[in-house]
Formats: sequence, structure tokens, C-alpha cells
Amino acid sequence: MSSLLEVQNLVKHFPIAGSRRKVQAINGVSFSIERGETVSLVGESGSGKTTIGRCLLGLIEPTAGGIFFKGQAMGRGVDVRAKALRGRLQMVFQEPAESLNPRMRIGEILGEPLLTLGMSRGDRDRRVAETAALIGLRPALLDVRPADLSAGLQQRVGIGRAIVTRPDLIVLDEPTSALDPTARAEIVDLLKALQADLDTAYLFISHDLSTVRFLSHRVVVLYLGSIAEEGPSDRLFAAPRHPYSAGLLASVMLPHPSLKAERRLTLEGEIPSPIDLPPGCPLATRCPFTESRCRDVSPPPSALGGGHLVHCYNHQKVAALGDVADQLTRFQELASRILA
Amino acid sequence: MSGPSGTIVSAGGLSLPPRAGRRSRWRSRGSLFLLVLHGRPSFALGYVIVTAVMTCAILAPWIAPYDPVTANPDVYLSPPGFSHWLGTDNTGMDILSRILFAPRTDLTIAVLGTALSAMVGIPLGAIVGYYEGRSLARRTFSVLVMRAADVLQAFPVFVFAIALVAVFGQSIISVVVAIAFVNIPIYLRLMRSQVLSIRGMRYVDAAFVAGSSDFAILRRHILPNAIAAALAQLSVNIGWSVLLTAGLSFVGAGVVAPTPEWGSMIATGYQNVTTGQWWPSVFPGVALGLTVFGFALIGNSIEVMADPAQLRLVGRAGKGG
Repeated sequence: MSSLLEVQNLVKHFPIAGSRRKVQAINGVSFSIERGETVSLVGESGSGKTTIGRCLLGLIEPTAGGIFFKGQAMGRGVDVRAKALRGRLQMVFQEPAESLNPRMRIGEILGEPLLTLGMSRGDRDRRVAETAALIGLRPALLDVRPADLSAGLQQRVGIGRAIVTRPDLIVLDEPTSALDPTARAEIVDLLKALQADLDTAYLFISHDLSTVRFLSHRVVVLYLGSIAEEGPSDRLFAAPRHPYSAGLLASVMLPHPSLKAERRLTLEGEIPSPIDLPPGCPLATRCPFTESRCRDVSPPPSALGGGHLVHCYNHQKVAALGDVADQLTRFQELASRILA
Repeated sequence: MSGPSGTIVSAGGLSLPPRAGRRSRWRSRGSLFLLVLHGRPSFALGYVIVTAVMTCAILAPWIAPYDPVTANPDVYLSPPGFSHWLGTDNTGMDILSRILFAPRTDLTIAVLGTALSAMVGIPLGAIVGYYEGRSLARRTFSVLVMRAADVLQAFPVFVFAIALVAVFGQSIISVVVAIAFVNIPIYLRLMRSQVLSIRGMRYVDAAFVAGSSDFAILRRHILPNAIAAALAQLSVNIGWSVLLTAGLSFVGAGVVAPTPEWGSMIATGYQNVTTGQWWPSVFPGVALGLTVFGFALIGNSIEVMADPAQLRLVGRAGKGG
């Protein structure tokens, strides 16, 4: 059986107005998502995570590359509005307030995606009520408007609007980053519970590594629009093999005094501008292991087994540094012991 | 005034405490109106003036002392007095009666012209704003429309209106069309800029992803959120169109002589001003000025009601005394 969603060599370049140069937002990214699975895209701001999500949903048209949904090629720009795809793909946004029409009632917002499916009014109302229960929204709140809700509740409505059509895949574009820690924890729990209930696949876009670690089955690490490393979440967090992912994981700060990140590998400098990237590995300017071939040819993926792929010539050198202890797992164990 | 999250408060979410149901929504609209009037009493004057002008227009046949188009050569240019309160003009028509009848012509033309321009300009602006930066054909369409609007606006409004009337012939309908034409670019631009900012909102993306058609997105999400500014503009524009109608009639391109109309009244009376008979043109001038002023005040008050930031200031002023 084919994957739920397969992305092959996706490229997106944005032209710069009044210039021949281009912003190379995505440079040949391939990955796949299976049914009921959570795949996370992580990376710094500007690494192309959001652009990938928006390309998948046809909100922007990719420059090149193929997107296959259930084995079927979707046109170059995905037409999510085609009849066969309506309601199969959904999205949850970062800014809960901005993602809800201020003039509509919550019930109308939740029911809107159903209108395109041609459901009868009774069916729609039943589905909305059912969804409100799933996202933990009191029925009375269906009559209010978004401004009357807290940010956490607004985000629940955003999630409710996405699951109301029982989609196969939801793109979650940093759904927790605008929320305070309590609301964030609730939303993460809600997402987990919903996935268990509805068997929806998630593409989770985030730079919040602890949430990613908790939610995802597989993680794709992006750097400047290219994949640095991808693999099962536990393997990647325990044994990152790309200098960039190792550096990224070492930068996680945990709210615990004795769990300090072990800085065995530091990346100097800033993420370079994605305008007119040179050939070769995008990390070459910052990486401690850079050789001449890194600057010339982009490293091909090396399979490390178990679906763990790393795009680096020198991944053995990273491995030789020793595994950065999976601090996130350790913190989780600690926290659950304290809170139990 | 903001919601519990304190994040956004837009025109629609001028939420006083949570409310449910349509009735309380209207009640809160009503209290909003009173709040604004309390904070800015001058707005009440606008509503009084406009109500008075409209009442005159409707009740003119019953309250006017004379027939507005019957000339009485015996009493031409008689000064204000008991038989003719505001005097008579150089053909002996009663000025008060003509002033009372005039808004029938002026307001009809202005309201029709403004409504026509809004009906064309608002949807066109919404479509242009929504399609801007999409596929090449749609982009070309919006560029063409916007450049056409530039051309329209490059002409001095008055000259352009005179030219239109000259082309279509002198009639009330051509004055209406001329007014509609010169006002379309205003609504077009206003809507386009609003739509451009609302199009980038996440709820529009969400509706798109969910499969809503362009029409459904425009109708459900974009128009309701973008239209407030255009509606506030309507009232100001009606006042301004009254002025334009009068202006056209004044130069002889608008309504023709015996029809009671402020602009043509000023025009027929102004030769007499030099010889000391000021009343035939000053009184219609005052009526015209008051009407435009009234509509401008109403436009202002609508603007305040639609802008949460201004509303908060007004509310504070109102409470302070």
C-alpha cells in the first residue's frame, strides 16, 4: 500500500520583486507520511518548514517536485478544493485568534468545512456537536464569537475545525507556539487523544523540540530548505548524526537546573540568507567538519538503518563525539516521577 | 473592551461582555450608538440635521406654503417677510417652498448616485483585491481595473462630471450616472486595500483548505470583514454628492431651472446679490451647507463606531463627563 502522502523533490523558489535573484525556500525535499502517523518538521525560522506545509495544501504553488496523496499525483499546485480531496486535508494555524473569522459564531466556524461536503443540515449540526465534545468545548460556547474565548480555547476551535471533516492528514503549523505553557500542554494532550481516536496523520511543524519529541513518530530536520536528517523520533533524539541536528538538540533548554545541555558540538554564526545559495551542503559555512567536497556537492542521504537517514559526509565523526544523552527523555522521566 | 484573550478586537467583535442570540446583539448595537452620542454630542447634531432634511423632502407638499414652481411676477424679489418668510426670487417663486422641495431632487440624485457607485465599486474592489497576485490572467484583470480607476481619478472630478453630462445629455439620470462614475474609484480603492489585508488572514487560508469556493470565501469571510470602512464612507459620500449635484446645477450642467434644486437656486439668485437682494442665493446656500455638514457628521460617527480604538477613547470621554 502506498504512503498516505509522499513528497518527492519538492522545490519552491520565491522571486524577489525587481531582481533576478530568488529566495530558495525549499531545495529538493522528499519525505512521506503514513496513515495515522505524526511526522514533525523541525528547524530554525527560515528553514522552510511552513512553506512545505503550505505547498502541500495548495496555498502556494511549488516550483517543482511531486506530491502524491494516497498514491495519486496531485497537480503541480495541489488543488485541495477538488471534489475528491475536499475535507481530506486540513490545517491548524499558529495564531489562534487570526485563524478564526471574528464575525462568525463558533458553531458556524466549526461547521464551515462541512458545507463543501454537501452534508445535510441535521448531519452538520450533529457532527459539530460531536466535534465540540471531542475538543472539550461546552455546547453553550458554540453561540459565542472568537473574541469571547481565551487563546487556548480559540486554538481548540481551530483544531475542531480541522477534525470536523475527519481528514486523513492535518498540517499543524506551530499550533502551540502562541500559547502559554498550560494551554500548550492541554493542546498537545488533545492532539494526542484525537489521533488515538480518529487515526489522523499529522504533519507537525514546530521549533519546539520538547513538544516534537512528545508527539511525533518520525522527525525531519530541515536546514535552509534541505533535509539534514530524518528518522524515528526516539533514534533521532538519542543519536543525532548530522552536525546540525546535534547542534539543534544541544540548544534545547529544559526547565530543570541539573539537566544542562551537553555542548559537544557548537555551530558558529547565523543561518545564512536563503538568497542564491551556493552549491554543496547548506551547513558548510557553519559546520566544524567542513571539507572541500562539502562545498561542492550536496551530500546524498546515507541510510543508518531503521529509516534513519542523514545527509552528511561526516556523520561518523558526529557519531564519534558520543551520543548526546537524550535529555528530553530524561526530563520527561523526571517530570513524570515528580508529578506522578 | 477587548475579549478575554486581549488579542483581537475588530469591528465585529466590539464585544461588550459575551452575548448570545441576535436580540442582545442588537441591544448592544443600540447601547453602542448611545455611548457614541454621549461621548461626542456633536454627532447628534448630524443626525438631527439629516433627519430634518429628509422630513422636509418627504413632507414638502404639506408644509410648503406655496407651489415651488409657480412664478408670481407681482412679488418678484420681495425680501423676507410675513407672506414670504424667506422672500421670493427674481421670477417671484417662494424661496422657502423651493428650499423645502429641493432635497427631493438633491437627495434622490445623491443617494442614487452613491448607491450605484457603491454597488459597482464594492464588489469590484473586493474581486480585484482578492485576485491580485494570483494567476496571470487575474492579475492582468486587476491591474487593468486599477489603472482605469487611476485614469478616472486623474481628471478633476468636476470637469469629468461636466463632460459626462455633456455626453449623456442634460437629465437627472446623467447627473446620477456622473456622480456614480466619479465615486466608483473611492469604493474600489477602499475595498481593495481592506481585502488585501484580510485575504492574508489565516481564516481565509483555512476556508480555502477546507475546500470553499472563491465566491464562498468572498461572501463569508472577506466582504463582512472588509465592508465596514466602505459603509462609513457612504454617508460622507452622500453629503459630498449633494454638493456635486448642486455644483453641476450651478454651472448649468445639472438640473434645469424651474425644478427646485439648491444649486440652480443659488445660480439664479447670484446676479441679484450685487444689487443687494441676497436672499435668493444665501438661503439655499445655507441649506446646502447644513445638509453636507450633517452627512459628514454621521459619516464620522459611523467611523468611530466601526473603530474599536476610537470607540474606547469616546467611551472614556463619555464616562468622564
